[in-house]
Amino acid sequence: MTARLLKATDLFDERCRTWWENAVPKGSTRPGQATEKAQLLATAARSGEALGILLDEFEVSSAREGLTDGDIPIPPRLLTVSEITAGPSLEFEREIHQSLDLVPAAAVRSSFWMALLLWWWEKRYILDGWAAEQGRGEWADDRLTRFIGWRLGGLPHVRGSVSVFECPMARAWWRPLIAKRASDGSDGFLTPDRAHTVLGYPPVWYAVAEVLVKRLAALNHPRALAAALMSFEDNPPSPIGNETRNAAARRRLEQLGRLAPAVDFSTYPLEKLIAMCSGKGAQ
Amino acid sequence: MIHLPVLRADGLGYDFPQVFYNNTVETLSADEVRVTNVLSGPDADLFAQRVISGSGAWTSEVRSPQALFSESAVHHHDGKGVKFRKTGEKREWEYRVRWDSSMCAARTFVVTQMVTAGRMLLPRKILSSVWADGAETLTYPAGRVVARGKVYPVEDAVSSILEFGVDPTMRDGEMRVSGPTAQWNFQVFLTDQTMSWVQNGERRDILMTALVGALSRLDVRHSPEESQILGEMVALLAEKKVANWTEEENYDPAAAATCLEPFLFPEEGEDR
Repeated sequence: MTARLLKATDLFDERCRTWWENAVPKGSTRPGQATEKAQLLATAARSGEALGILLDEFEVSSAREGLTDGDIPIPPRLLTVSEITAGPSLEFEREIHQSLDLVPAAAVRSSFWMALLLWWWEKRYILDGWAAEQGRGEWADDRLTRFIGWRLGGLPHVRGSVSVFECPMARAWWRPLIAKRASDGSDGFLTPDRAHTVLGYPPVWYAVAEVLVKRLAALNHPRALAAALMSFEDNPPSPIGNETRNAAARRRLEQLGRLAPAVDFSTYPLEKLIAMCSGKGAQ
Repeated sequence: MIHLPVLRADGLGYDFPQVFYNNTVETLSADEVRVTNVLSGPDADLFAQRVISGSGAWTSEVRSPQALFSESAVHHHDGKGVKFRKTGEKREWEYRVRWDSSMCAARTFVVTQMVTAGRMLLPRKILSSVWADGAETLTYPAGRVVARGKVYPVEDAVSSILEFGVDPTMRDGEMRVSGPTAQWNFQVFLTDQTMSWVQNGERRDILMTALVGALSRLDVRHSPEESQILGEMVALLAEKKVANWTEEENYDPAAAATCLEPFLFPEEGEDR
């Protein structure tokens, strides 16, 4: 990543945050109530112009920020809007991770992804329109605006620091990195591609992002990650009672997290960590 | 899993009444810290011998939750860069920890522990009376935590301009700041008691008060070109549109200090 890109992202950060805070105020949940900015974006989205209107609203322009083509990381091929909204295939995620030379300090910011996607739109790396063709045109303005914000980088003022990991493009860059770390901690038992496949299961990914960022940072240890993914590979999270699959995955990670105060993840036997995450206890 | 006693640096554990553990983490730069582990008290040597013999070892983990980052290293007694000191009942190990700061985001923490490298045995008689029943020897299997240090946040370079020292003539709760020195440090003087809070890294209000005190000693005579740290501070303040000490009329040391080191609040649901 170039210093110019980091600087441009910093400048964009405040504008972007203020705009989204005004468009989707925290706690505004009354259906049918949309702010002026939300109405503007939703109307544009219905005619396939969401990214164009955001470029204008954020006053984003790579030329104005002094960025040259060499400064902006580019995707391995042209992207469709559905790849941005629904997320690319796991295979393409690996290509995206390899081709984007980023540092975690930038990739963890919602505003970075929003700026990057708008620059890509400006440079025509993103094809066709937005939302309308996928049946979301009927959605209320507020809901459609939230959806767009979430897909473009996340809404940290609403969802907190975990929000960026819910953005499909950010996720595409992060998952292969996390998979590689887990593979490194697996004593050779888990390949990066297999770890990536497990992370590709939505309940696992959402649980990993939420629990590891907000609640049990100790589980970021590569061996704890490896144990969790190997456990999920053998025994996918299955709900108990009214539990959702996401909650089941969170519960399994919390079981593993109970070991953190008592064991050293670097040296504690991997099979015992896996057993703990699978709910079989550990000796 | 079998519950085993753990020696805690935060003073909340009472498993081992005759041994005390304290760990400190000093920030040297954005990607390097110096860690010191100190065991003291009549039974300290029993633990120290386990580390010296290799059945125990120190570990350090650098953790940046927001970037899902964790990296750990094991520091054996005879390992590279590990310094050992023995004074009376006190046993002290010191080593440095480095990491790639571009892998981190937001706050970074350093976690220190003593762990078992193999099977570790300790005599049960050193335990408090609540552990009295059982075999004469306490057995820790490999990979278990024996001592747990306090978790330290890695401070940024700005706070490294502060040099803390003890002034025995001061009264508890007081502070004074002098400087800058020729090395561009500000000397912060406290009482012994307040100093122990600083060393424990538990009182950010002390750091903030010292930083405001230090920044209030800067004025138009101090050019940002005179040192790298001053240059970095001016750049940070300019980026956030806060006046620095060369803009005499608008300069506010409290505004500058809280711009460089904002007040921290845990996020909703944060638990660490």
